[in-house]
Amino acid sequence: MAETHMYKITALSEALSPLTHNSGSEGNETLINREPIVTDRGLQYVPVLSGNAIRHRFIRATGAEDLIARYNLSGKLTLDQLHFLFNGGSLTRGSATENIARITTFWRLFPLGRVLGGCLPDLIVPGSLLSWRGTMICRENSSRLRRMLPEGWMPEGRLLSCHELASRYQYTRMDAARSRGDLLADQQEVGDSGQMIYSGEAVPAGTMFVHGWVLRHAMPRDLGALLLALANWQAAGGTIGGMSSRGHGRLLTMIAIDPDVDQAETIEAYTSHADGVQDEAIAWLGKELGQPSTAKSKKGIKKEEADGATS
Amino acid sequence: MGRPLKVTAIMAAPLVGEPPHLDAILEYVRAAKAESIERDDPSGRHSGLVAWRERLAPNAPRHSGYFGILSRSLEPPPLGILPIAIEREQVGSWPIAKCSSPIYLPHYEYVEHTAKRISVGEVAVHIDQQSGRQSIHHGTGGTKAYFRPLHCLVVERIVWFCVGYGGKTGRRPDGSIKRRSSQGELMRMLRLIDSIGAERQAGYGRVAEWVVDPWDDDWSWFAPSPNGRGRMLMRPLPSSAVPDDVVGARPTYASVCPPYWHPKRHVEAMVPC
Repeated sequence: MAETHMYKITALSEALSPLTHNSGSEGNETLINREPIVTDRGLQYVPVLSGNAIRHRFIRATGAEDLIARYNLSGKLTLDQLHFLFNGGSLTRGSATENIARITTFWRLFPLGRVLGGCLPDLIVPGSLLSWRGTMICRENSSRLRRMLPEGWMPEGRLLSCHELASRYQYTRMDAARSRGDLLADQQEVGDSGQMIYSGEAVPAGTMFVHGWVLRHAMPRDLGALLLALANWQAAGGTIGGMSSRGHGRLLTMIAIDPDVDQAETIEAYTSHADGVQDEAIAWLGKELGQPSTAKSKKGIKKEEADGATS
Repeated sequence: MGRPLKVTAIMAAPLVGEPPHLDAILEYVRAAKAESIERDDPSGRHSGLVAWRERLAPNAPRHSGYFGILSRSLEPPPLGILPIAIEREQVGSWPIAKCSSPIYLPHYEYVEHTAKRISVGEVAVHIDQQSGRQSIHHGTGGTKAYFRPLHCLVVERIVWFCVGYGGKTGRRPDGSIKRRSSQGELMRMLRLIDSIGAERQAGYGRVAEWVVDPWDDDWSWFAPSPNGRGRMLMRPLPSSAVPDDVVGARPTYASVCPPYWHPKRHVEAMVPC
């Protein structure tokens, strides 16, 4: 009989570019996400990476991309299937049930689903992953870090304050009508509009964060699903937060797993399992979340007809 | 005679929701070891959990514990069969653990938000183009986006008072059963608990360190009142178990054994107030 274990993965991430993991704005300036913590000097607001963002960006989104590529599902999914894979789905039927056989079937077919859990239209499926928040390595967090970090991970010497580790960014956006007005058919549209300035707070490159995951009641192939997603996330640039399209939010992440495991072996256990259940898994997606519709909606047909008429 | 102890969780992240009862945490940890506990239990006093799980989830992996099978609509686990290194006292049909409710003082309360919104880019790339779908609704239906507020508490530490006993777990190479102090046994179990409260999957309620200290008096069910008049109630108890001199209690319908949220655990009770 299979056996489950608890795995604790501690991660140390260094920002390779400014981080703009934001939470709200003040005027037209974005503010970085902060949490209040109790320190010797009273309550302090310290930048933090939310566990929700880490969970989605590091694991769920990259894991879903891998499954779609592995099963060659791109261009074949329904909206419900996509929503389930990328966002965990949502409960949409009133009569929610507790069907353990359905849950265990899902867990067997989708080790990534056993890690993250999700929501079928009429059933909530629990997941086994606890994702920690990203704790900034700074003076304000030093007492917490001493308790949280594995032995030998605590940086030596004086840590900088989070207030010293705050920086800013500013960009401008030109109005095309002004910069390349010569391309306009109607030269009268070249107006007085100018550039738009947008700016905000950022955490500078070089800042370090400690975060991690706890995987409870997990089999080695579940850990493999998580590690593969993590490796794919890092290979794709490893970003978190906003403005990654402008190069923000790149992280370099190192991990330590307790108990120590052969990472390549667990990833192999996952990929061979996923390949082995491919047909069953695709059939399950169709059964639980709908087959792709071949019939076109009235709107779609009308649009296609209209496109055909104009071409 | 048990040994009074004070258990402290030093927190590393904001707490969402209520912290749990200590016996509920310990039963959760112990449930994952149900197979080993039954193997080392010739008396059969601690047996029954594996059979309960097998009834609900046949062929579940070993050491799955309560994972995926604790639900309001399903049969709850058998009462008080797991050894949790804390003494229990029988009140009517309820084996009630000798441990207090969690005690904590929030330094600060605030609201954080969690957001969810399906990515239109991913939909455009991966969706079946023949399905005829033209738009996605972010305001209604299954793909409704949300910006959900979470009520967060900044809590430095949470304390429980309990009465522990030495466990009988593990075997020496010669086959004899090891005995640990209740303090050591509790520490061993609590180290496996990484976070408590709600929204743990997103990093809330993370515990930086567990500390178990000896305590002079048994404050698990009742503690001296600060003004010296009567005793204070320290945890939910069936009404019949609460003496008349107890202060700081109110009658309600509540659970007295874990899982505390299960409807089948509710009874006429007095709870601290």
